[in-house]
Amino acid sequence: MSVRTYGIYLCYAPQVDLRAEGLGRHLAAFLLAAERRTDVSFVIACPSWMRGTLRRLCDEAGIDFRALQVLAPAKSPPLLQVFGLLSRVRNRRRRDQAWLSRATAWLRSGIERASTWGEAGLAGTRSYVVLAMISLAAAVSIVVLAGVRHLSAMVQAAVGGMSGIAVRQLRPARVRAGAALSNFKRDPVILRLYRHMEAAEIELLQKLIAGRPDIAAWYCPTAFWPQFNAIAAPRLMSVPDVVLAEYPIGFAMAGGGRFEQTFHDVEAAIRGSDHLVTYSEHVKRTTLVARYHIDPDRIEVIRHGVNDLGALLGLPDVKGDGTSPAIRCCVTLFRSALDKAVGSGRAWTYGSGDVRFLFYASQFRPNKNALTLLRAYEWLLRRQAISHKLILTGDPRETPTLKEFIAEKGIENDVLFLHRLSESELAACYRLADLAVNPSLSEGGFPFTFAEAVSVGTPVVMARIPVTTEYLGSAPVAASMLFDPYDWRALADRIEWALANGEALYGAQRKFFDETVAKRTWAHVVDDHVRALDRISRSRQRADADKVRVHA
Amino acid sequence: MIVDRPLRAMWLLNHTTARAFEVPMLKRAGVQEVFLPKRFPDDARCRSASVDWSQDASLTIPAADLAVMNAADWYREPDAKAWAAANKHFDVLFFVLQEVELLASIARNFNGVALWRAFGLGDKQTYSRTLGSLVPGGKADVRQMGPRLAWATAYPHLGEVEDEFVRDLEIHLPLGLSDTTIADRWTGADRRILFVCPDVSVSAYHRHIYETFSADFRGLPYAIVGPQRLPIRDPNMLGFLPREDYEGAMRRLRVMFYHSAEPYHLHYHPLEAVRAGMPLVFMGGGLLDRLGGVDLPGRAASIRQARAKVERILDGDQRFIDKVRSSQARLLGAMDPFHLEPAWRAGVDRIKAKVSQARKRRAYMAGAARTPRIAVLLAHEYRGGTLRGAKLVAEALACGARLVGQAAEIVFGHVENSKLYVEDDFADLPTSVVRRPFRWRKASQAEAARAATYAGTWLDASGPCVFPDDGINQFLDCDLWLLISDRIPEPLLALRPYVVLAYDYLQRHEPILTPESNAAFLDAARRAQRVWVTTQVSRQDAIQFAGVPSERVVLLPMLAPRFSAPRTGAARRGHPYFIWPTNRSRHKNHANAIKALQLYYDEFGGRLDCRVVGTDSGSIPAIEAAQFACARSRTVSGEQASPVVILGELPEGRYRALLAGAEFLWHPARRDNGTFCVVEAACLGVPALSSDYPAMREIEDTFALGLAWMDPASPLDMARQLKHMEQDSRDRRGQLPDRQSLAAASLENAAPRYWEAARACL
Repeated sequence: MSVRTYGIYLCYAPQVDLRAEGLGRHLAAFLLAAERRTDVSFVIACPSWMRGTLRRLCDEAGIDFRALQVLAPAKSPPLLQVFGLLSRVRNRRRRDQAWLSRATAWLRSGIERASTWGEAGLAGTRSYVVLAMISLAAAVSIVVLAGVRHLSAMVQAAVGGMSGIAVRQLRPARVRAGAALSNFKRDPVILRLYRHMEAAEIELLQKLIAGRPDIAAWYCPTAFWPQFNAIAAPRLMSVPDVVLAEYPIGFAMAGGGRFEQTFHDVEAAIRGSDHLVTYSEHVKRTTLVARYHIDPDRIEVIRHGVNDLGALLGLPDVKGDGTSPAIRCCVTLFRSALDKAVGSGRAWTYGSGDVRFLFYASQFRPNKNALTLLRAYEWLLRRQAISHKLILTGDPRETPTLKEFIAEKGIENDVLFLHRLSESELAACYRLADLAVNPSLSEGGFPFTFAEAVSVGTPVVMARIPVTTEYLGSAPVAASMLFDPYDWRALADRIEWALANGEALYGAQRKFFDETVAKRTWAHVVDDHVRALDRISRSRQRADADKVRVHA
Repeated sequence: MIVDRPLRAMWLLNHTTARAFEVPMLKRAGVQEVFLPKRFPDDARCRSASVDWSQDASLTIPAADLAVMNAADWYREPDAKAWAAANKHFDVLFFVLQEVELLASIARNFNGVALWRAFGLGDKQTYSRTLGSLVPGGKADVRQMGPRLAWATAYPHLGEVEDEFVRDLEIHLPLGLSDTTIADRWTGADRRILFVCPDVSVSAYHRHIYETFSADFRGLPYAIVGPQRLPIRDPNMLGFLPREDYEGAMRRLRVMFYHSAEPYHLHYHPLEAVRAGMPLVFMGGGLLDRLGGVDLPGRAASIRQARAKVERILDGDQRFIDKVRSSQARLLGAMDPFHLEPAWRAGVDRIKAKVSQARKRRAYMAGAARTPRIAVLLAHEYRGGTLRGAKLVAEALACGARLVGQAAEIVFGHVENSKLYVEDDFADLPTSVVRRPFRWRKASQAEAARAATYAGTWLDASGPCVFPDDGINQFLDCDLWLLISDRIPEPLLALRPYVVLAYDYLQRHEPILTPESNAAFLDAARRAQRVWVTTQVSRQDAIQFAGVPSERVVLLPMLAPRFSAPRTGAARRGHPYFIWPTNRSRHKNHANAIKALQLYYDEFGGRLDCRVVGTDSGSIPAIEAAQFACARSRTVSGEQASPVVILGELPEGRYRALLAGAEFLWHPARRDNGTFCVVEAACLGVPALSSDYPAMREIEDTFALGLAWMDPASPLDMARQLKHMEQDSRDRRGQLPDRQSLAAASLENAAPRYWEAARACL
């Protein structure tokens, strides 16, 4: 049996940990499922700096990294190595802060003592020789101290920006370099440098790719990288959505300018694309065809596989009573989640396992509609006297309007923000919640919330949005679990109803989960992608053959 | 659904010479039917235009649709019916951007492939710059149309000076002449130079050409032709010549001089001269060089050389004349239809591919048509009549859509202020209208520009902007925003088309606004897609005061609130009174009203009490300061009661009971958009005495209420009329219209027009 070879193109920036990226988890599930295909092999092309994170992703997901073909430049760019070294030094210096403080204090007191002695000697001496020696010693000390300080700044300046920084004031340069090390994405000079480095790396990568004509087609799991379009072989690029285009004011106000370059990259990637994959008919129609005028025949809709959190908790019976080991384990995880609460010093007090809550797991992005949920919750709490807490997983510091609303309504104690949860903690929160809620206005495909909640035994209510109705179709469960996300009263009514009818709702949802959702595994997703790659590579071969015939 | 119909094109130009070549060429290349516009602007830019009805006979579309299309103005913003007919029958249109609004109209309304016909621009203009700076939102429109827009170049090198985004749109359809045979009837008997230069008095560009030519050829005999808007005092200026005379001039005059060295634009007249056999002397470096003119004897590298060559011809240098005439035919070769046909066929094939793509895309999208959603946004923290009016507009839109059998979702947005609004304030909204509170928020210029970029549109503002934040998606789920009133203090971050309903322009008649606020409010209206008004007076103010073009001002019927029938047996009890609804606004004419009341009571012995009602009417300084208001306080100590009682804002039911028991309603305001209090009073069987001003006259014309009138500027007349009403009110009740006549002006009757006006903006 002949084995077809397809490429996967990745071009994340240095320092990105794939395990923390949604797309990284998607990729892991994809690669794991692809391992069972004996007729297809995948080659991953990526910048040199991604080898490490790729290995860690594979190790964590149980993928044999050694069996994976990675196409990447052999060595990282020297500038990146220097950058990495400085980062490590800086981190180490942080660790050694106490020692440094002590040393600095000792040095300072020594200098003070010496200068006092020097001043006294200077003022009291009757000898011109002593006067000259003390003055000389003082001058040398000043020069040495200044030299050390400037040298340190110059070294960091050289790292911070090769061209422009050298001519700038040394102190700002040092501050800039320090800040850049801690958050390089937001520093324009570092970003510019990174862009140059990335361009050079991509050029090398493209040469490696061009040297592999055996790879029949390429797949890129995201639209962040327009350079993917430079590959001459047939290309399949995934576009989950272009959410900035749908929520322009929200993103323009929330993200500063940092989303802008990404947005332009995504647009360029789509406009120059060959074939596309997306997760829903809705995104295909409204975003790719309507906004970007892509030929519908060039777009494949491939849905996700199931995201079953039950397996993650490692407990077969997740529906045990409150005293079962499963629940006790969840409570323990929940307590560790409460320790991650943002803006609440009292969150830990709710870790008894008795506190009932509603749960919405999501970052706070403008399309996530968290304010509508807060409005509904406040009304339920104050007017309908529900006693539940509301637990969210976004960071409220990023969204002033949420903070304003919570402060204005005085519900700080009832709304908890548990940020940066591990997957196990997330699963535990889902398991312990009375109801999961997802008011999101827009997603690329059927929201993961459904599978994540139902797989651990919790019912869920969700926004009636096109990707959801498209997936649920005429399933009987749809009517009872959906609400109009533009109307907070409708959301409140749905929550109230679901809390009163939780068992019936869960029963219907579990049935749909078992019969439909759980049946689509990542193996199906891989098969669909392979089919799409087969098709585009065959159609290119046919077109090339036609050209040869015409010339002949 | 893929439409199976012949390939029809709309060639929306009126240029006579271009039409003679391009329409037959389109047909030869496979476009079966062509529509030609029957109206063109009365404009200097259309000096070579004419109307041609000849193609109508070959169009196989219904006569009614053709009539609609023939009546439309295809140079500006054709109406919805014209676009509907166009989309029904045509897949292709050719246009020139004579009026900047046209591109947006095409982008928004036309479903087929639009070709922007590019004959080249002079004066260092480019199509890219035109889109970037002259056409508001031009680039956004181009992006919106995507592959449905093509830039149809007449010369292959036009892209040299254009940006990539314009070049990418190019389909080359070369310029040609319908007939390139040389009709050699030139005699040259008239020893003069023929120079063509129109619009000398109007256009600085042409004025410069005229002056340069006059200076360069001073001392030589010449005649200048071309339509002139204003008379030119120059004996050599012949102005506009009818076709026959123009052709005669080309036969008789000795030589034509063509001045233009523009590399991207060419006039037809030098080619027409060549066709007529007339010697042509032209400046090198221009487009004629590209048509094969580089080494022609008639080409001049400098003005000095041009003058020398012209002089030789004027002096009858026959050898030179023959040399020029025999060689210049080469210029026509590039315009020969026979040679150009393959290029046109290739171009039309590309157009057909685009049409096929557009049809496929349309068919794919047809299954996903979304119900339009319209946001009615009460822009300011209004209560009283404006709040009521806004709710009525929302209801009219919902009702109008329902009555014509179309689906629509109406969202009612109001400023979030729990101190000002309670839920009951909105209880009368239909259940189908979803209420959504919002807060005005400010975006910096950078944020606003970024938002526009993300939205794929453009920003019509150069500073901070405001937007209505509903905490969801800033009303961007709605397809159209209808702002109730123009009271928006800063430019709107309008990522959706918006309409302003301007009830009135009181600031024109009362000094109530600062210049800054006034400018901001007027800008809000000027930037709107449409301005809706409900009176002729406001329509005039929108045009005359706000500067809104008249075609964007839409006059809609007044929406009278629905007033329930009076309770049977509602009797007038206690001391008789009349009712004065008012509020703190200056135009309510408090000072004169109080003087009138004092005269009424003191001079005319008025017997009726006055009950003052309305938002904040309890704190109007002028009323509180009046003598009879002071008397009111004495009633507490048992002294003589004041005839004037200030009741403030009353609940709806109490107000209606009070109104039903009144002898009449008094409306002494100076000037505004009129008040429906008089209609409500009529519904309850109560006549009204109103100030005489245009908006109230319009209300009278609409509802025939039998209003009594007074002069709001004259307290004496107001008092006198109050006295008359005291005596006549019983008789006037008999003149009130019955409920059936009032119902004829109901919301249900007006609603379809509201919906239609909104739908036209979607």
